[in-house]
Amino acid sequence: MMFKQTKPRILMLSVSFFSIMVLLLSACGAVGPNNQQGAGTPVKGGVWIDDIYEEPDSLIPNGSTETFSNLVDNAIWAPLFYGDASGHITPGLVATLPTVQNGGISSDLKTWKFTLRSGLTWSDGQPLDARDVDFSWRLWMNPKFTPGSSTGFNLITGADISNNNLTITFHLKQAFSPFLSIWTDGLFAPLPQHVFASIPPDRILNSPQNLNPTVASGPFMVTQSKPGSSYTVSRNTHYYQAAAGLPYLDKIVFRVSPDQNTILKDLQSGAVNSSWFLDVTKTVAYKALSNYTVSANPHASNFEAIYFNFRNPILGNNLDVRKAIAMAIDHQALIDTARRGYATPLCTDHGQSYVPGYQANAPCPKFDPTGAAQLLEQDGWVKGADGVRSKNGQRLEFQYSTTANNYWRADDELVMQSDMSAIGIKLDITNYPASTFFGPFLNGGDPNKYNIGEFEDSFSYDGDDYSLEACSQIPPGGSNFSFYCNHDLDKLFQQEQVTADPNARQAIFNQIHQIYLTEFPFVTLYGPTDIAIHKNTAHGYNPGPEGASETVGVWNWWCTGGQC
Amino acid sequence: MDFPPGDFLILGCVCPLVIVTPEVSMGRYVIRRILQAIPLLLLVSIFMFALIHLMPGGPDQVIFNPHLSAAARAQMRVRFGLDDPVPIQYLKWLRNALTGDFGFSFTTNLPVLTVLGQRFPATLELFGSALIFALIFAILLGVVAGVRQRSITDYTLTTVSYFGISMPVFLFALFGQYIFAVALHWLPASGITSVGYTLAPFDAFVDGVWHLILPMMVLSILFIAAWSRYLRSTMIDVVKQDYMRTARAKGVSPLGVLMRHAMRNALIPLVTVVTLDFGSIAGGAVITETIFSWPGMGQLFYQSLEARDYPILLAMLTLSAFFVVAFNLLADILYGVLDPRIRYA
Repeated sequence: MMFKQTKPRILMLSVSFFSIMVLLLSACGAVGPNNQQGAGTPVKGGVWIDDIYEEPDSLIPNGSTETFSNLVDNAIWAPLFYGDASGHITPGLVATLPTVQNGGISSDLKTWKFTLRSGLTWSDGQPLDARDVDFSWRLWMNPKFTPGSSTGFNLITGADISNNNLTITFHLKQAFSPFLSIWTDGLFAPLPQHVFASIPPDRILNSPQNLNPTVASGPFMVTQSKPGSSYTVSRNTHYYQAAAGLPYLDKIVFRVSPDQNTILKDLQSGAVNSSWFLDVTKTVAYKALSNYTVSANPHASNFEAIYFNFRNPILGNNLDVRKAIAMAIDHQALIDTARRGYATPLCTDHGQSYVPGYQANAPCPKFDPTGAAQLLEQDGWVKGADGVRSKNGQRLEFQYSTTANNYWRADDELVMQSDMSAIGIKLDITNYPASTFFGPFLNGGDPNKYNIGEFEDSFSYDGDDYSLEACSQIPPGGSNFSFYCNHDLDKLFQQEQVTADPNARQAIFNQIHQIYLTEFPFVTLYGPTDIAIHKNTAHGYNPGPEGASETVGVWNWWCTGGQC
Repeated sequence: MDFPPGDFLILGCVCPLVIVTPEVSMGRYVIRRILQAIPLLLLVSIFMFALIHLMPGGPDQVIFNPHLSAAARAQMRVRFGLDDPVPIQYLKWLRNALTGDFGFSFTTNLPVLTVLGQRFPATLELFGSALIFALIFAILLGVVAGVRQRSITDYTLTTVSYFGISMPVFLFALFGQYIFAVALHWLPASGITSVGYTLAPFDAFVDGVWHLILPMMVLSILFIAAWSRYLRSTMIDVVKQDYMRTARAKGVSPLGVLMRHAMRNALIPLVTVVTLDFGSIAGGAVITETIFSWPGMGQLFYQSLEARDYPILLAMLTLSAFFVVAFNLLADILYGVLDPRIRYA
């Protein structure tokens, strides 16, 4: 059976037409450099599109502790206090920052008085006052609600509300210096009592309000919620700073993009105005975008550290081994290689934004592999034929674990492996998905699996690091993943929590650091800085070092000419 | 050679021994297959439930939050039904699942069915359009390759097909994003719609199609490559049949022979293959949806796997098994409907 063949002429004509179309249409897509009209005076208007790497799992304050929930919360909920780009706490809904001097805080740190601004309203026009604050903490402490965090709220024994409903006075069962920080940023903003009081506490997080709250207090309010796709927030005309013309933007669209490669493509195609928490291994590609600016907050508050599992008999019982490891780490190589320069030198758990907390002159261990090797030799750890040290049948060979699928941590591990190999310690790398690593792996503390774990941590706006190494925080009671218990350290934690004077508190933090840098329950590698990017026509974008991070000061975002 | 229904016949030693079971009607066949599917799905659900609880940490560790009070943690265990022994948990889950209640997502706290309902339309849109697109092109390429066997056209199409089958989907996706979104700015790099403003219905439709083009093309490549190869083989078999020569001898035009006789017979097996492939829709296209930030079932599965959101995973795996079984049955039925020579036994 024969069929007629397509004439070559038609094929050639088709190809030629297609080629011409390609040439013509490619000219339409050309993007030249942005025409910056000057970043001077903010202009109202515009729809800002922001790619977010993870999906929020709740938009109800304290319904979650997830970073990206906090990020969106800060756009739709006005908290009592805001953190600024330097990591300092400033007044939000409260009229003034309470201090011991102005009588807002009692000298014993057990009575805290918050006075709200007058005339506050929710986005539906209902009054916002101290009764909503009172309702909120009681809800968060209701076990049926299952809050993201109860730290600090669990110390409240009662609260008094003034006759004009503007002041709420909290009474704590014990002094707690970080009490302001637990009310800071949108994640811990007050909830509208008139909306949530009618919903059973155990149903609130299951309700449509969880990802689509109908009433807001922040600069924006949710107008479209598409889980898995995007969350659109529009200007809230009842925002307490509306009279000052804030926020500038008409809308922000938080677009869920759970793949870093896709975020890069969105940036390369100019489809988004900003993104935060970017992949540091793609820094070169980000910097190549001529119409975007890469930024990193210099006031890093996070710290990347390796934690020793004290349940491992070698690591738990041999200070010299831990000290030798600390001395053998080439921190600068880690910063340059793994983080591509986006990290600051740090050897404690307090970055520069913590005041009190940060100790500029901390006695950090010097990079001294020769000294580390000598220390091990003097302690009786002898190198075997395979280069690994041993003593009394115990080998200096450890499992070294972190989260999987993280390229810069993988680079970290290679540098560390090389550093340790030079002094006769063998590190066997075994990584786990984040949910497993931060779940059963660290919490289980199995000394046969978990020897050395690496991850990033930070505190809220207060440098209280009780949760890091307190004896009571050993899992399942908390997140002391070193399984380390030092009662002297516990006493210092208690002291800093009940001390109001910042200088006195700094002195206590210094003592805490001294223990960390002599006992080595963990070794800080560096202070990583989160990378963000924004279009050159986007202004006011200034991610903070902690808390709501990217959306710190979100009401100040604006675009050139009001066009994003 | 047809045997009368209801008879057994054993042929003599000249021919291979053949035992023929009695024919059944399609209705009885369907009922029998459904009855067979029930214990199969039950076994699958038990296996999935056990597997998920055997995964490192299990559900309890996933919702573990060191900042929760002991009372709150206990409350969470009750809320998610984790305070019962595992067999009791399974029976409760099964009882609820039969009424459409798959529990609540660990991460979003939304009802599982609500979450699946939010994501399924996006997958249906992507999968459905990709299958239709792939079917059109697979038929075109398969028929051309089949009737022009051993020609340059055939060899070219064969090479392209093997390339399509061999290359990983993510590579096509990344190339597609770079070429069409970054370099040419013809198509968006990700997302299901333009965001930030409300469009008129027609404009919204056009916007949706514009976003659909790239992920649909990427997803369809593998289908086109595989199906065109399959159709090519069946076309080669069909064009050699005697009835094709008879039709041509009777004066039917070459195009008529192709359309009325060759394709109709060659497409029957392909319909079965397409039906079976469509059965995998419940799982979505994980890689494509993740790369293009397409908020469908595939992306949900990937996110739930990362977050160890067990209620979502369990529901999706169960639904996937159901879809596979159902579409297998549909394929068998369709095959019998399209080919009258097929008898059920």
